[in-house]
Amino acid sequence: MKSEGVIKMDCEEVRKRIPLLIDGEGDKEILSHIGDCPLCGDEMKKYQQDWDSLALFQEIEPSSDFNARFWRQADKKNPIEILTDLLNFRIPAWAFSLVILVFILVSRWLSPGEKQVVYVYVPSSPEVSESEHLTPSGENIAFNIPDPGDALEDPLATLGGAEEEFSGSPGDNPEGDRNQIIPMRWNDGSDTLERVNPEDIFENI
Amino acid sequence: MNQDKFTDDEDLIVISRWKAGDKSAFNQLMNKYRKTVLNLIYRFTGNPRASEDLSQEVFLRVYKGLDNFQFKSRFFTWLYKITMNLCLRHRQREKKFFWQSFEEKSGEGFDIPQPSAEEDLDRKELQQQVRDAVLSLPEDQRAVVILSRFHDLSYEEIAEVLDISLPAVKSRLHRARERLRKKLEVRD
Repeated sequence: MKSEGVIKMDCEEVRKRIPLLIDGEGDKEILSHIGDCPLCGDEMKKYQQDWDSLALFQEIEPSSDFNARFWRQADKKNPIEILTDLLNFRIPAWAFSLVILVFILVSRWLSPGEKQVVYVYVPSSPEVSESEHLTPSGENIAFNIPDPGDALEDPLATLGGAEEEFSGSPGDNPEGDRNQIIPMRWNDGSDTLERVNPEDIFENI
Repeated sequence: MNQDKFTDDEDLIVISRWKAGDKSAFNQLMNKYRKTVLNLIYRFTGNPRASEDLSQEVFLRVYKGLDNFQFKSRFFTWLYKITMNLCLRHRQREKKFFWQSFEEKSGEGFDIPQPSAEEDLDRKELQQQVRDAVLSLPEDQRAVVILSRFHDLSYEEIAEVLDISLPAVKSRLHRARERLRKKLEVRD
């Protein structure tokens, strides 16, 4: 005969395994215990009742226009489908080529000239070979290199003998570093230069 | 999985008809499964209005994906998988935005079966208690309980729908039963 302590321990163990039993995972030992132990048998019944009682979570019915509503949505085209339909028409190849050609010509005519960045290396000597630095229209350009400590108030570049205003701020070159690269860009449709922020383009050099 | 295994699946015959251009075949599928899908979602979300909308969404996804259905599984497991994924996404959205109004939560304005006048208050309370107990389960356990108890899916089918292992199904079900026992204990 089992002591009370052993029976209690067995019951706890069995009760832990009752859910397994309901799922058909129980073994003979548990089944035998439940057959002999009214408390565990009662617990097993409660588990089963819980499971059965879930049927009280009642069903709901689909709305009467469920299918109609579905087809309304299914037939509704999304923006991508509309675009695909629009693009899904055939035009003659010559017409397509003509459209592309006109587009290219118009865009070239309308678009501003691409700004060309020139990188001007300034050696220790302020003499800069004029032939190396031509404007897009072929004019020579010379650069004035400020002396150390001088503010950049003077025009930095002269073009065809005429001075071009430099847009940089005075004091840009306080150390008068003569070994520097001055990135400049030709302005649209003209031969004027504007300085480009070195930080923007130096990494591309 | 072997394709031949599912040649007896009536749904696959209907899908083949749909793929061959028979538009009425989709209505046939929808008529067969709309209530199942609706109630699968309803028991997961507890929200009748959202359930109807999500059911529509499920069938829209099926409609768009049916062309790519490879007959590698039974149709209903694929359908349930889409439904459960949508349910989980809906719950995540709901948690994030907390947009659900009280009206939606209570199901006001929606046709929820109510106990008749003859049915006593106790039964109504019990229904509410059971509903609350199911909805209080963690999502992973709730999904297993719903598929097992209300849709009679085998453990293998549940594992396939939820993309989890067989031991995971059993473990979740075990824990769900224990939780339900505690939740429903008060009525004993």
